[in-house]
Amino acid sequence: MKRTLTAIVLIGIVAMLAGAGTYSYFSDTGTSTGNTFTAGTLDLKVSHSSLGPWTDGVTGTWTLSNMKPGDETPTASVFFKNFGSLASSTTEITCSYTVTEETPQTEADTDPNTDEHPDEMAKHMMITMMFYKNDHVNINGLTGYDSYSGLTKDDWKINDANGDGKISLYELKLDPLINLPSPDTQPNKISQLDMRIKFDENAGNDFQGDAFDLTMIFTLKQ
Amino acid sequence: MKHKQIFTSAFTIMLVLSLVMFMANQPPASVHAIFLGKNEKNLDIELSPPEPLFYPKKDGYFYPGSPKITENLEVINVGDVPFRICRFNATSNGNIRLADGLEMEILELGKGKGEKPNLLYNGTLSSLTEGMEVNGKSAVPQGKSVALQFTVWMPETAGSEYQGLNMTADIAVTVRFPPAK
Repeated sequence: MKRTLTAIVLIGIVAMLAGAGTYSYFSDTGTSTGNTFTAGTLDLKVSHSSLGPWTDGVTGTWTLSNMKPGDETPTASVFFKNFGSLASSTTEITCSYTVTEETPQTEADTDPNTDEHPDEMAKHMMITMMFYKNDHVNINGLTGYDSYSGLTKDDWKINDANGDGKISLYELKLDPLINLPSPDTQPNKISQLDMRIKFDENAGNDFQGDAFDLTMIFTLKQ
Repeated sequence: MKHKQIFTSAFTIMLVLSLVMFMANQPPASVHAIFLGKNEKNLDIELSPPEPLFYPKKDGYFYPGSPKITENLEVINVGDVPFRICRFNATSNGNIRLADGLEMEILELGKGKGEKPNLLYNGTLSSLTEGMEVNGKSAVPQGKSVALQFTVWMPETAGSEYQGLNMTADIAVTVRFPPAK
């Protein structure tokens, strides 16, 4: 019994000393309340008209049905505007694409697997006209020349990767247009892209029956 | 019988001592009474300004690489004993994921010209919600104050996942007595 008591008292003393060692000062706390942090937004919306309606995406802007080598789309436009809380400073334009093979396969289609290497068809989808414009700029995406300021910039031009003197959608994917003055940099806050696309006269039978699905990608940057 | 009495006495003494120590170590109310000898002394601070340091109407919106926002908070000794800054803790509400994308630096500013500020905290706002023990440089005497400089920013590397998020944070500053390091 005596041993038990001694043990309990010792445990108690050790526990109290440990407590005293851990909490060795008094404290007081003041609080700065209600601090609010808000992250801004960039919210790009597009339309087929400068009057809207504005949505997150539009479809069927450039369409060629039953196309054959040499066919070209009419000039079509996409308008874009920032509905976010932050002002953007630049715009980027690039693209992605897929190819769908016809079903059943056409006998004359000499490449039944173009869907596995869509770049081959994109190299034959030529951009024959491309202008990025708003109130302050009128930039030719094939030359990088802005007719308003007289400036020419590499960032505003798609590089001719294979040096054939033509610019294709494949080359736009490789070398996006960057640092274009964004819609927020000028009064009406709207920019537009005018473009025409032509199916290369030299495209061969590899693409007979194939469907090319193009997605143009517009990005706003701070 | 005698052993039982001894056991009861020892148990009662330990229970009372434990309660005393437990109460002494409770989190403080706005004023903490301390008895030094026969005199009651108070450990008590006030923060200035009492209004929030950060709010969007003044600071604008945060975005990757947005300008750093810096505000000062004065911790005033309105008690009778000196103190030293010892802890920060933030309590967040709203889209608290935003706290991962915001960096905060807290400096204890020096008194004299040329005196280097003391870095107390540098990390994400979210880490501050876990509480951070710090070691204030100055022992602040009765009637004096120490200035804390809070700087908040969103790094350029922050991604789009923070777009449009909104949160509030209460920032608690704890001081201790005695102020000795």
